Amino acid sequence: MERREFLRALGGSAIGLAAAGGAFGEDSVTGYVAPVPADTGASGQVVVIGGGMAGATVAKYLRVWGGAKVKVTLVERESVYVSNIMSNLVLNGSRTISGLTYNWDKLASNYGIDRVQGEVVGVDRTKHQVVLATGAKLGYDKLVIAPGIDFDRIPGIDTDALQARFPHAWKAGAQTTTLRDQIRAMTSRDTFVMTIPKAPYRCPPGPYERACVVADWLKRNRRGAQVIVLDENAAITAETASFERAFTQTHAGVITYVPNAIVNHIDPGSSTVFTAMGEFKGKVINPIPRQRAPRLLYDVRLVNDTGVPGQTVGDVRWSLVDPKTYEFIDNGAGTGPAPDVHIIGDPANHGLPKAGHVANQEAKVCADAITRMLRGDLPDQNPVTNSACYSPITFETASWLTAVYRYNSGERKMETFRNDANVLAAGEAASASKDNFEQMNKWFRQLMADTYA
Amino acid sequence: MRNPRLLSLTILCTAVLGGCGGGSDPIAAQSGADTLASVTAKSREGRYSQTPGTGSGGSVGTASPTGSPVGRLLASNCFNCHGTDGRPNGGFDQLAGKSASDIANDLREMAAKTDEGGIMRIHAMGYTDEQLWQLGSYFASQR
Repeated sequence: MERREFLRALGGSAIGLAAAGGAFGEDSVTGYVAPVPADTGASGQVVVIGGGMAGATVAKYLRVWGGAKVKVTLVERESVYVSNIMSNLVLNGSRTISGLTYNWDKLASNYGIDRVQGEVVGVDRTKHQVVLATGAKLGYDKLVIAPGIDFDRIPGIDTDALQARFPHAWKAGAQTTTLRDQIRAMTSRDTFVMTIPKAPYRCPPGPYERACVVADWLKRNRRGAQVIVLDENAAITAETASFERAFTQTHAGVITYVPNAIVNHIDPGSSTVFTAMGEFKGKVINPIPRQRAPRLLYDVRLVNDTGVPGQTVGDVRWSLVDPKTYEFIDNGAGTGPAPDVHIIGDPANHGLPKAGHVANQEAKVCADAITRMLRGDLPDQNPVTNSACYSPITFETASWLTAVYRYNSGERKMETFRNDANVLAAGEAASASKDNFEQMNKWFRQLMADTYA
Repeated sequence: MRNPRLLSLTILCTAVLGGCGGGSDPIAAQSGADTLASVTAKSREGRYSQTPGTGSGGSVGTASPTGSPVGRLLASNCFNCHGTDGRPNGGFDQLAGKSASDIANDLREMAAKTDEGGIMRIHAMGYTDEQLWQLGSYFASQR
């Protein structure tokens, strides 16, 4: 039999935009529209809060897998979604925020999802109702909460005005273009200083990727300018070999990496970051703060996990869930039980990395579990998820990181699959390449189509 | 400003890249045909899972199937790159309509490779033989 190359470029027709260094056109989100069956035996009302990677995917698959008798209402306060994935490429001018902007129109028209634009202010667990800021109430049989994350405020820049001047740009949008403009305003004698928060945070390879993209742009446009990476972690947290190679070879002489740089405060006047490893002054400061579940989850008392194994009290930041179904787990931290409440995406803790591709797959497991439960069935006892992500290292090359996860029923966590020979199903690219960059663009386009079309 | 410390070069190699030289799974080649037959039979009878309280479990080819097709949730791990139900839009290869044996055998072959570090090798390593047949069967049913 002829071996099929699953990931080979179709017909070898390279788009060529990346190599030319030009801007990408707006990625269309069109894809196969799966039918919504009339009746799968499942019926009920599901409310989904949040329309990011996790929320959009769960809404779609609840209809495709659950059928027309599973009613899905998607509540989202924004009018559009801006993809965090690929947003580092706005910083070097390869992509634009408008090209990374999506909405929920196709989910509504293709799959019959009801959309409500509004802010959720409460959840009545007893009455099974979601309460909106307008006072409106939405009843649910199952509730899926996918609200993304929030950021700590770093001492010294804790006002809104200062946050805008020192953008983290870790939620793509206006801050991303602000940061891009600040980088463009640098001279060849200037320094870009970024901080990386203590793990866990959204998109583990993302900050290192950003350091590479910025260093690459500065090298080509502001030769002599420097990048200083202040990492609160003791070492690079993801795709270690690729980023060590990028920092010490590809971008040698441009990037300085400083581990264990716990951030104490930032002095906006002198544009200086004060850390456990010293003081670092920069023309541009890009502080990525520590992260936590957003306010909504605190308001409805569903935050109960510190993110530190074995530590259940103290600085609770995340929502503990069982990744067999993504149902909330009451771990005795005072939240009480929350029956029929599922939490997916970055604020949930379940053993998986916090990332958009992973959130898409969590959502499918959650949709499948809810569909089965609405039929009176048991959920799949052995769900599998995967993580795949490509990281640009320069404007035209990328590396990748991937893993497959299985369910550990004893721990109620996902863990990296280990085969009979005790080899983990996880790894990263052997080198950064143009081929990977091309694959990255396909991956992104298809992932967004699977999520928003 | 103090002199920042330079990156310390700790080589934190993952277990994966060095660890696959120990030989491939001997099960595959021998039992391939049998496994295919049994999965096909299983998928004909029980393509949709048992559904307490809803009468008949539905059958292949009905417009409104009841239950969850075997392998669908596993196969959905491929949708992210290969399109919903394995029908991509200008992305990677189409999987919908391929035979279960082609898909399972190709993936096993990729998993056994030691000379290249392609992303599909890692994915192929993440499933048991039975799971590969199940997800392959799902794509085979998407015609």
